[in-house]
Amino acid sequence: MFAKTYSTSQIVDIGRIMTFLEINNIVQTLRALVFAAIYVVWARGVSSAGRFDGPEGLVLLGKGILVLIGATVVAGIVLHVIGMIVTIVAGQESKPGEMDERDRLIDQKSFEHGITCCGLGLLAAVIALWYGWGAIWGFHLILAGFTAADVLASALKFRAYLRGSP
Amino acid sequence: MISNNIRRLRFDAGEMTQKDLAEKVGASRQTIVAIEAGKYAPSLQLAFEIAVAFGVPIQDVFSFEPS
Repeated sequence: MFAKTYSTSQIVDIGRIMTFLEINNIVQTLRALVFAAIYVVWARGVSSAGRFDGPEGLVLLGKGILVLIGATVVAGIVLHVIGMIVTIVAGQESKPGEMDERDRLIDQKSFEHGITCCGLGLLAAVIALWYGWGAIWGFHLILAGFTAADVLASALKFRAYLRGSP
Repeated sequence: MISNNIRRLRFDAGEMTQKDLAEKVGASRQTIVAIEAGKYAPSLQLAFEIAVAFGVPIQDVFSFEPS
């Protein structure tokens, strides 16, 4: 119902208006959200089946996280390449991946906030362990911190690009 | 507050486009747009590069008014 398809010319128009960094930022945010949703669905399924219980639970979680990290990296690279192709086809004046001082400042400031979010995730995990929640929950909270950091950093970048300053 | 005369200087330089200026100083067009609109204060190096691109002293491009 909400799905909207875009023609090639419309995609090219987006590539002309926005820089590669802006497009890549939005796409990578969506990628982070999609993979977070996949992880939540998978973890809920495994948890409700009781497969996280016992020592084998941590092994399963470790495997799941490794597969997720691998898939995230591959998806990130593929989306990066697609973004480069779109901006080149669109004739975007800024070269893909090229950063100037404003881009670097925006990147640095959003990264700093992201690191804080990661730290909060780690802190929450340690507190959870302290209260006897178990290692599985500790890992879930650390991953939640990483995902939140990723999304927060991207959102801050998006806001910075909209207003023009870091 | 830092204000600038980039728009006027571009006009005086034969309607130099923001893209042309961006290429001369090694920044993106969006950064030039942000500087021109007063939304982004450039580094000292970029400010000097912009002045050099117009062939004028830096104080002719940027001015500072203490708030």
